[in-house]
Amino acid sequence: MTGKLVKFFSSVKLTVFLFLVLAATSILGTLVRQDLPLETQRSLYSPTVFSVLNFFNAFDMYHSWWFTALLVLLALNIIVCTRRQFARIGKLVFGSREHFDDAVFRTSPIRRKYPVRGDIETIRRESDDIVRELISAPATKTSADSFFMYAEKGRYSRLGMPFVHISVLLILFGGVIGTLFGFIGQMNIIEGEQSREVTLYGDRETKNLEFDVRCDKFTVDFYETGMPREYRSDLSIVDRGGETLASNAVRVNHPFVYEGLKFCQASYGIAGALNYLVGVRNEETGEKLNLRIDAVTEMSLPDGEAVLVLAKFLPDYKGQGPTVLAALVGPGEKRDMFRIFRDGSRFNRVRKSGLTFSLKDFDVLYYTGIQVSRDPGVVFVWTGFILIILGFVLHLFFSHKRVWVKLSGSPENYELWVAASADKNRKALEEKLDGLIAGKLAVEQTT
Amino acid sequence: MNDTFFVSIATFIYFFSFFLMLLCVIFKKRFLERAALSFAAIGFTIHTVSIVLRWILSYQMGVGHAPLANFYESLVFFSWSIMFVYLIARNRYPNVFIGIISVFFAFIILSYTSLSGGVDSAIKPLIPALKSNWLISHVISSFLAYACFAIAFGSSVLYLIKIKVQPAIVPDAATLDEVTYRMISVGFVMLTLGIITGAAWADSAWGRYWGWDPKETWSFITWLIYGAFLHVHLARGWRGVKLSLISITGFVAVLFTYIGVNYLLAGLHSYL
Repeated sequence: MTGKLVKFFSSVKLTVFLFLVLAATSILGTLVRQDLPLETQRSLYSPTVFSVLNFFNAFDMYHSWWFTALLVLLALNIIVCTRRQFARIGKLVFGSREHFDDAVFRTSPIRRKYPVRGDIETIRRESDDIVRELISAPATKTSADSFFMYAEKGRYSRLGMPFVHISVLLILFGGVIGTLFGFIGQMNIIEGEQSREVTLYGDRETKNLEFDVRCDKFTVDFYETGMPREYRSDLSIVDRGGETLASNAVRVNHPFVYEGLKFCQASYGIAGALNYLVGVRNEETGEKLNLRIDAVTEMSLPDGEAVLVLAKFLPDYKGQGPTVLAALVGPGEKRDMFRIFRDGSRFNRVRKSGLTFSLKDFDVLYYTGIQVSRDPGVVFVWTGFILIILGFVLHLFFSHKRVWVKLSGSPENYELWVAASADKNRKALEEKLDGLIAGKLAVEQTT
Repeated sequence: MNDTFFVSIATFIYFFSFFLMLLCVIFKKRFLERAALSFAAIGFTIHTVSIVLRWILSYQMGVGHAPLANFYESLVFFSWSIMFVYLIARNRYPNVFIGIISVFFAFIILSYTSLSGGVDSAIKPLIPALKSNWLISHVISSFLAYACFAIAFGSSVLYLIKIKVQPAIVPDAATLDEVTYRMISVGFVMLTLGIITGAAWADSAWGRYWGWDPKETWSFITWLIYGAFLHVHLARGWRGVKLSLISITGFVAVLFTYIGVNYLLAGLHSYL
């Protein structure tokens, strides 16, 4: 049973199958929106289609049980295959650096045999030169009428592929840790205010932080073309006692990290306005004056007892630009509610009191949308990323080359045996070897 | 002088180089191939000048950034990457057909930038999301990957033509098969690098390294397809037609990742 399981999980067929199934199902997740609440999804599909999609968790498919199961199968597949691969290469990578075995002259992919004559010391020196140039200084066993040399280079390049596969495991593991122990959500904070409540993405539940986050200031500035240049929130971390623990600016691409929590600039919006400058014109006398009105106070008009109250600000009212809802309460009169538009707008009509109001200036009050996240798995993911690059470098730019040279026979007819192997680009090694032998060894070549 | 002027010159030179390569295939004259290669190299130099000039111009306009930030710039850089990969691969595979594929793609892509009305070639300032040190490494690794996959796609298509139609002028199928494999193995590493740099960028810009945004998901799909290609090639010993079909499917995924996602699906990665 275990044997069958191991066989199942060590098959490359399974890998390829999982790759293709993961690819095919991932396409589904890009066709069905993943970022909408369930109620919105319900309105997008017919009841039957909706229930089928919902049954298969298609609205949050990358976190569904079946997608997770596919990834778990892939992880098992990688574990079993990498273990098997280690069993195969372990000795080559971590074994002895002196590898004297006659079998290589029968089994190696590159094999040569030359009859040679002459002084053994000369032959040994020439062979040594060849091995040095081909690979590196050899380990040599010598006796009176024979020698055996072995040299190798780049044994660690064999770790390239195992590294790549282990990295994928690390990345998957980091993903699991992040899903289980991390969170991600957003908080909208009006300038000058503070909050500790984060609305989590996905299920829209809320989570309270250990401290408050205050938005000291939000600024957005634009290029001359009207394109946004920079969004910036100045945030402070405030503890329960009201003490500021840290302050930092958050810009897009420049998050603020505090105690493992990451704050990113995600969105912004207009929450209201402050410090209105309202122009008042008396249509009978032509008299004009400007009133500086803060958002909340009631302002008595100088001519009498009428009081102007500003209520709700809208950044844009039906394409007519910014407007503020106002109420004018005169002595003994009914409350008059109207909107004040920008100076010059034809919508600023004469009110009952004979006055015309216009919006001359105001300061926009922004709220900033800060994304808050914590991901304890990210360290595994980064390690995986570094290791995968290291693995590819080892695999692509290095190869494990080995060469054996043996002299046997008697002084009248020595035999020089040469064997070599390389796990990559064997042809190049073979050509170099033959070139060196032809150039450096004075031998009669027979094949 | 405008950078798009140099792009137009490079476009014409690539076309001429392509034309010479075709002649070389038909008349089998070595000097034609040498001439075609010289033109390809000159075209590539001018192409490089256009990119450097655009970079400098953006600084003179006060909105300085690497010219890798919108659809036009990505197309120019995509075709540049194809030529770059070709000129390096040429040392090992001095095969005129790899040249034909590469110069053809480079020419077609550059022509599209000037002939299609939909590609705005004006230099624009960077939006906040693109102001990152990851921009250069992410874009370069991604487009080198796309370039390798494009050449692999071309050689796979040629392979299928060779197998099915057997025209005498197309080189031996084994070379094409080998080129497809080499291009995909290098492309796969570059794609992995592109995804990693993208993840690192996403982590600082959007607060998470992976969020199943359509662009991310499609890069993952592409990675899986080419991953499957490498596994069946290395571990199962697949060669030939089946492998070519995977390579072609992979390139469809590349095109969808590069362009399709932005026009058909909604997501964060809206600037290509």
